[in-house]
Amino acid sequence: MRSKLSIKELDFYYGDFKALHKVSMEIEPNKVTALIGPSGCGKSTLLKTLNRMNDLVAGSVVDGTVLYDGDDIYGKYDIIQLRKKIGMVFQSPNPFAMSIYDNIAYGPRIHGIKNKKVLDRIVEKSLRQAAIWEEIKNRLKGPALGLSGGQQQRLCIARVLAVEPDVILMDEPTSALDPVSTSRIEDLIDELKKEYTIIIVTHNMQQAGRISDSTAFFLNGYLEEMGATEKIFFNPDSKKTEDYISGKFG
Amino acid sequence: MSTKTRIHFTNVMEELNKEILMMGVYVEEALKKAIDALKNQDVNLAEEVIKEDERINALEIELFDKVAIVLATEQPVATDLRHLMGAIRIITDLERAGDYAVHIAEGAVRLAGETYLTPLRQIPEAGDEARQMLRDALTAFVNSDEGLAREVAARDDILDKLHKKLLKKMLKYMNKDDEADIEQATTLISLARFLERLGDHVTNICEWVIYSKTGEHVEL
Amino acid sequence: MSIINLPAIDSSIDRLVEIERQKSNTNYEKAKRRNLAANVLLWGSAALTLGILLYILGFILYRGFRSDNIIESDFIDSSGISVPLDWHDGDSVLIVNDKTRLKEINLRDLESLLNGKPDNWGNINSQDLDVLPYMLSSAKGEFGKNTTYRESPSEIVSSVASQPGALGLIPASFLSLTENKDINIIPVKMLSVGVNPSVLEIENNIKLRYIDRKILRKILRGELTNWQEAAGRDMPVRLVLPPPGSFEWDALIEIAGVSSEELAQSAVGTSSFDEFYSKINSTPGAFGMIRNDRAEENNIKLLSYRYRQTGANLQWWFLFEEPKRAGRVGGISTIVLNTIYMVLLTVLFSTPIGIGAAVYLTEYAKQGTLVKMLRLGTETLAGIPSIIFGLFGFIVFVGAMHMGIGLLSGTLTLTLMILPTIIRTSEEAIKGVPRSFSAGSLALGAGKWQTIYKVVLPAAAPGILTGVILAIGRAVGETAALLFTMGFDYRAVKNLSTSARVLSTHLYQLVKEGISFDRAFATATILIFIVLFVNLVSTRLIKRKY
Repeated sequence: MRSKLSIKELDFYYGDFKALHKVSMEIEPNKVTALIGPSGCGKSTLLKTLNRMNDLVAGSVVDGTVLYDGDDIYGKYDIIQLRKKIGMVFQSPNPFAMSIYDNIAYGPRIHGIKNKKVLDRIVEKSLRQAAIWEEIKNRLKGPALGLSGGQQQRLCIARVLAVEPDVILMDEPTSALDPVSTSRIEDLIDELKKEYTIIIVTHNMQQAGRISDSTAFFLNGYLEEMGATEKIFFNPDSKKTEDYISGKFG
Repeated sequence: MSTKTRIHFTNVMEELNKEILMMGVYVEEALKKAIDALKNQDVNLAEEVIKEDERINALEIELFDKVAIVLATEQPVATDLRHLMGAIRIITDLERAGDYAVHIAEGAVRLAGETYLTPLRQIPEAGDEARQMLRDALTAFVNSDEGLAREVAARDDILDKLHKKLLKKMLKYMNKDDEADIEQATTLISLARFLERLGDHVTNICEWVIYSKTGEHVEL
Repeated sequence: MSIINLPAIDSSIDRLVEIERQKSNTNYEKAKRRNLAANVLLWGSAALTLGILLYILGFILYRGFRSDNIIESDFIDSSGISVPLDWHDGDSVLIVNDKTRLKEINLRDLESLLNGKPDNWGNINSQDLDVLPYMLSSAKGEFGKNTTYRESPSEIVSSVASQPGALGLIPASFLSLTENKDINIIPVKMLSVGVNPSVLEIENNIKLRYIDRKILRKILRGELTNWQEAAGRDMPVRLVLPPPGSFEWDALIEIAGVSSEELAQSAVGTSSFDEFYSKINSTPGAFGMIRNDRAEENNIKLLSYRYRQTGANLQWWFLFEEPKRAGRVGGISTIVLNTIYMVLLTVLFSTPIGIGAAVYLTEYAKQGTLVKMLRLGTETLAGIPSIIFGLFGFIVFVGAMHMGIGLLSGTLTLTLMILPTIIRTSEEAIKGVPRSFSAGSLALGAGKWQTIYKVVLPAAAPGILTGVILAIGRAVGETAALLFTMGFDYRAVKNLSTSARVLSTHLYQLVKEGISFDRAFATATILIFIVLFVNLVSTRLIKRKY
């Protein structure tokens, strides 16, 4: 199967600090790839390089290639198109201070969709996909910040879905949520992978085990081991991986 | 929050249950074929049972790893955890049951050329009963049905009785001092003994069903 | 025998312990006293601050809602409804249309109104209305051109009832005609204090300047016998009584509050007005209550009468009437309107610039020395006295840029003045928007400007609005910056270059020109309410945000 994202010998610097060392990995389409590792290991940094959110950080330098469907995203790729195709869900839910409807319609609107009927359809579809439609369909005009944390996060996922992405990056999407909300997001991820390629950074080992198809373990900016999640969790090759996932360090 | 969560895990568990049932079906089939082969003195059928046991053995390993991976990746707790622990023991019991079916088939091969001293009654009867018990025990496991499990375990007495009955009957022939007869009687006694032991494994399965449901270890 | 005396050691240890205990006790006491002192200081200064605040606010609001003035006048503050005016035989009653705000009037003002000398009520009651006198055709004397004559009292009543600003005199016997009509009956003050010229002469650098009601009563009752006791020269008081049964006599008895027998014993009785007037003029130290309109013809000197006049000050009409004659007359409607225009224009100028600058400083500018200097600059500007902004505006906008003194120059000056505030608060508001908001927007493929415009600014809106409203509060109350730039025309502005008076400069003018303290306080009250309202709204907004 052809890789959705292909990362080749990627080095990343924050100023003088080298955050990623020659990372190479292949992300398969319609799979959930979990990036795990101790804090500061470079997993979030790697995630940010995939939709060039790292561009916002002053003094960051990228060396190496990231191919998305065969195109180098650090080449001539239009950054707006890239972020449209590779959406991102953040650590803590960050709905905008506007209505639920406007939150979802925000993306389509900035990409030029103005027709009310089309927007209505997109909003409903995205909310349904994010499994939150039934809960909030009667208060679309209500403030998004009035929702519970778990609902807010699913709303944020719906907001990403509304721009019809191809890949969804998730940066510890459940770290701010309670167990039930976490379960819901995990179920949602399992459902979404049928249509999207998902890359998730998580500190929660169990979560990586539960939801991902393959897992990449990072340590000090190096990709220590990557493989099928069953393999990583049942019989990893690297002793460091085993120590980390069994909680012996990190 | 009324809607269900952890849909993926639920699906995995259902799949696992299905596969255990499937393994049960294979064992049942092997047992039925072995008894039929014995009854009809059909060597081909008996050979088939012996050959097909590989499938059951492979399935045991496969399911064992599957349970281990579910444990590693899903971190189940409480009932889910006990269910998986039970599953590990149950697939072992199933594999043993499969081995007994093979033993019976081997007996059938050995007895294929001989004329039975008396028409086989208790062994096919015990075989049918054991199959039924196996099926019910696995149903009880999949449905976490404690009552059914206890009921199935109680039926182990039937196997014991049939075993004793056959034993008594065979003792008559063994007193006659005909070497061939004694050998056949001994073989039949050991076949009945295998069935009785198979029943004990089914009882074990029932015990694991109760364990996975209640967390208590019981002796049935 | 042991060398060491054990009991002595014991006792010395006991003493040490005791000393330590006392020390700690005194320390504790000291701390307690210090604590108390700190508390007293704290609560004292808090109470003082609160007290001063309440006193200032209370004083302004009290004077705003209630006029309370000490008045010196020729007329005694006692008046009657039916009075013996010379224009009619017998007593007359003054009626005015009830649209005219008038509680009482003195005879001199009434006379001038009837003569048509002020043909507008402005001077009398600050109301911009034409004076329309109605008289019976039988009335004696000469009246102004605007006086209309009617044959019967009932015609006068109906004419007065139908026209605001109308007034009329009818014989007292027709008083019942005014019932259920849009008419008010106005008491007329016509008595003055007449004295012998000797009373007003200077002696030992002392001159009697006025008397008040208390002294007047004392004189009438004979409780005050020497002018010295009323801060006058050393001279006995000689009360001259008007002829019994006259209007003056009745009024005197009423003021004295005693029966005629209990009046001053030294009082000189008279039987005719001629005798009355000549007695006053001939007796040293003489004193008499006389009709004001008789003083001149009888050559009688009048003594000022001092009294306290209280009444409602700020009323609704003050807000809704146009000012006339530099604010002496009418209300402040156009001035309020000008204030609103000024605030709107200032907000219109300052908000986009302020927000733009804040967005630049927070989102675009490289956070280096230049930005630091810009910040320092805005902070310094926020602390510069407003009069300097006024001076700047005068030189740059009015002069160099030829805008002239008017609304535009004034609002531009104000804009400069409040811009630092708006920039600072907007900056803080924008900084307060979580970074995750803009990250979320950028990750959806939005551009930087889209993100700022659609996500960051709306989220910062409450904070920005609070800053703008605080700035409005400052602008509304600003005077110094407007003195040289906006002018003082109290009419409603017509265009951007019209000179315009706003509440603060109006207040300044009213006090500076000595026009009316009542009006100044009423204006101040309105200003205070506006500022309070603005602050209340901004507090609400702040609360809603956090």
